[in-house]
Amino acid sequence: MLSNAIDPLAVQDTITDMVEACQRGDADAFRALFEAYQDRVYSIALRYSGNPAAAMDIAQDTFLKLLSRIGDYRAEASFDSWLYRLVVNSCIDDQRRGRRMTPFLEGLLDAVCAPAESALHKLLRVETEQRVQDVVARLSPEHRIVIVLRYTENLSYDEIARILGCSPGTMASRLNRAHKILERRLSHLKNEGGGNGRA
Amino acid sequence: MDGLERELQRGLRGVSAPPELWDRVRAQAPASQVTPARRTNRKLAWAMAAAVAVAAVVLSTVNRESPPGDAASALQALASDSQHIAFRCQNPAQLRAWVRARTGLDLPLRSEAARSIQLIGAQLIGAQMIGSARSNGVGVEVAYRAGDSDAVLLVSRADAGAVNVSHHRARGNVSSWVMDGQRYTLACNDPAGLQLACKLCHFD
Repeated sequence: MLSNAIDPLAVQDTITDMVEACQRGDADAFRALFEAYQDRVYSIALRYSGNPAAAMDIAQDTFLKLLSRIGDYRAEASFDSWLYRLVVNSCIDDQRRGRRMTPFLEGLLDAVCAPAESALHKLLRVETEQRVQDVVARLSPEHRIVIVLRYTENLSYDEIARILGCSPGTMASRLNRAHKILERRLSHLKNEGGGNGRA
Repeated sequence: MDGLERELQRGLRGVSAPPELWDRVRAQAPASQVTPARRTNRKLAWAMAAAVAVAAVVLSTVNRESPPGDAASALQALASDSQHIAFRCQNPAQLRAWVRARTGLDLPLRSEAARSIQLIGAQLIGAQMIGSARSNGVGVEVAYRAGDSDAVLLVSRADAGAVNVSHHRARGNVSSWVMDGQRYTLACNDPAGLQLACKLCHFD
């Protein structure tokens, strides 16, 4: 039945092969790792910073760190977790550099300019997403990063705790606190019927 | 899942990295580490990258229990909300190019979407979602709105030697067919909307 399904163990082996090749200085292997992980790295960076320019800087920094530190990676840990930790550190470094986190306006502009779509429908959807992103952007860094890892990457509590180097209990408490803050700040969405289903 | 979590997943969903990211990384990295040696195994590396990228998508959907058959898969895709759609795009040409680059499949989308069609985006899907009996186990799910209905089009490569099969209603709101070596399954949450959903590719 699932004879053609991709075997998770085989995938892990492939990643391990690529990482080992990258550790040996194989430029093609680095490119392959980049291709495999670029969307995930950029998504975390964008959702954390709320700013495409900052996200590009963070993603670039992450891959340069990957390149310079790949020799430090040991196969006993998950490569994904190791890479996520690099992204998180780059996000924090970027914020320390004092970049002003700006609202993500491009989506709104796109919505207004979109000719072939119900402009009002899209505008409402984009506005709701914009509000969510704004409220997340106002969270403290430690709350924001757990929310981004949870909802952009769908990581489990244990995975997030491992990446952030804290106990699952601490992580759950942070996430719970972040949920409460967001619930309070986004309560108007409920009143306005913000969750309007698919699309 | 409560409303807050749904809004967070929607508002914080993953996006595709801009193509210029690689140029920036390459410009800053030591040349020896990003420039292949004379004798390269580029093809192997690209194959591995593609396998991992596809596998990542497959693994992200592996927990979605998928009943066998394209119709069931299409209905399942339809039942899930659009949070999982990796590539959000309202432009048919861009979406077509994205799909072709990642799967080799050519979607015969209208170059300009009909007024009643609102593209949401596309998502690569694995063998589990498109019927495991076929050897080419990577396909694509195109999510869109047709009028007031949600619609999903699953496309994958047909079995070698498969002949064209005209539209066949597997269920009231699902239709499947084979054309030019590609298998299509279209599902719409409103059976009456199925006709309208065809305007993704067809003119009146």
